[in-house]
Amino acid sequence: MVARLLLALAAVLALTGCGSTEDAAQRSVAEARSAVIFAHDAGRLLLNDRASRAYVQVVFDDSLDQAADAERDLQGASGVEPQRVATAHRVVDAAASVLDELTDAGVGTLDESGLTRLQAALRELDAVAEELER
Amino acid sequence: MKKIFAVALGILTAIGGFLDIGDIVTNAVVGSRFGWSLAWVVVVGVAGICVFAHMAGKVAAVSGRATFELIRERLGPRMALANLSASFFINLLTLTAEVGGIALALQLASSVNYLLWVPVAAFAVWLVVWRVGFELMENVTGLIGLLLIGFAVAFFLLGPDWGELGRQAAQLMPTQESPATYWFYAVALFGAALTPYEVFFFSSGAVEEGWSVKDLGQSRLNVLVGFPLGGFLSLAIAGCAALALLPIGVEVGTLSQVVLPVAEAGGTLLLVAIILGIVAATFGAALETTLSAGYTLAQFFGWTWGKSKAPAQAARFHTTMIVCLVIGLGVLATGVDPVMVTEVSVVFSAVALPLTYLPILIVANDPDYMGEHVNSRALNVAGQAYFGLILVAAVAAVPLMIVTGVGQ
Repeated sequence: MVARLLLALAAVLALTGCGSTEDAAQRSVAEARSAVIFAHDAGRLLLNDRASRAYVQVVFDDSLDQAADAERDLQGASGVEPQRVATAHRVVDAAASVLDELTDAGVGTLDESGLTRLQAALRELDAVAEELER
Repeated sequence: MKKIFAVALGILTAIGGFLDIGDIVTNAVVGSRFGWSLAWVVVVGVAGICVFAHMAGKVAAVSGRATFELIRERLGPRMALANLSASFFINLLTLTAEVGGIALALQLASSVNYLLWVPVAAFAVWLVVWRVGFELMENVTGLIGLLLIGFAVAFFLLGPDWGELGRQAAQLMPTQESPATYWFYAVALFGAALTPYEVFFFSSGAVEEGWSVKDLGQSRLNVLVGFPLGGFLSLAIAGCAALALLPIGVEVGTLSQVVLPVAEAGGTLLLVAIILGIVAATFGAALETTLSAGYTLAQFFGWTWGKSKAPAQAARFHTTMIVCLVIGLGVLATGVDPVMVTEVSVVFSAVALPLTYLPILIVANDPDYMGEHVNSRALNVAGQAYFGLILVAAVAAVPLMIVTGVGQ
């Protein structure tokens, strides 16, 4: 009885449009963007001696996982225009690739050029996010 | 002087012990997505836990018995079994989340994968539960947990724009998120503030420490001063995320993201202090949930219980705790994300709240148990109003979780 009531309430909420309106392409780009900003900010703190190396390494590992999640979400995307998915794929993959390389190298080797690469990935993600919004 | 010191220590440990992984993660997630627009839930939740923890402490101090023993006696085995089932399951989920929280915090300090820290954390919890005295355990974790004040320091160092935070706090529904997601997190924050184990532990701990009617004043101060100050730290965590993460579009999904604003504001020193504070807070909460698992089951079945009792004297009580730790360890060993376990645990806490809090309200109103210390009219009005809120949160929790895909 209680389970039925809860399911009915869930259905009503879903039908009244309370769920998210973003599509998978937008969500994945936003997730990848969040991962890149996070890694960039932590990397900047490390270069300014304001965060420990151990912490920043965890940040890069977590960012890489987040970018990989964004890629996976795109692979499983259905009901979205293929062109939107392809556009999102291009920038999300590129961002994940930069994060992968920097994480693999270890944050001990991080320098300004690494941060510049992250900024470039971020600019691309921002541009595509804007495009998908239109 | 000694009395003042005891009162101060009680309040300080109540502040340090107020926050657990559920509060830390949920407040940071909410701050990064909604700013301070859910701050009102923290205020409402803290007031709620004050009302019910005060009642539970009073019941224990007056009757000399823990809440669960009285629930079974007063409401019968059927109602007590429903209460036990819900509370025990939620407690186990919370214990799992806390052990995962310790491991994640140790990962931040060492960059060693959290999965390697999980067995170490679980073993350390068991060792402390077995070997360390109740007061020492409470005071050490509570006082080190006070390092979480670093979140408040970071909040002020980040230079809050009070006008913007005030605008967020006054804005009931931010436009960038769906109403369902907003209310899902409102329920999650409410569940995090009123986690059932806090009340069971508070009540059983009072019995362990031999509280009597003359300790009611201290109990009241611990609850009415310590918990709101802990709530202030919850607001600081959400505030840090609102100031540093919301503007750049980073939604908290990991513990490393929770502490990024702290490093930005205070550098390595504050970061280290906060990580240590999180280890202490989650370790303290893991101890409390482990003990709560033993307390609830032992009190329901009438087994001998008590932290001061040697394992041979209270074998079933100690075995329950070990089994629960092993189950938590097993769940985390599957690689399930501890942050996800935390989010689910606070939502299910909300579902189980009525079963936890109704019996306390009933027993605290029974003159046979409470004598002259039966609930006052004002406390009853507050308790009943909160029970209404708890019912609404409990009914809404699961549908909101389904609709939002756990707040996605």
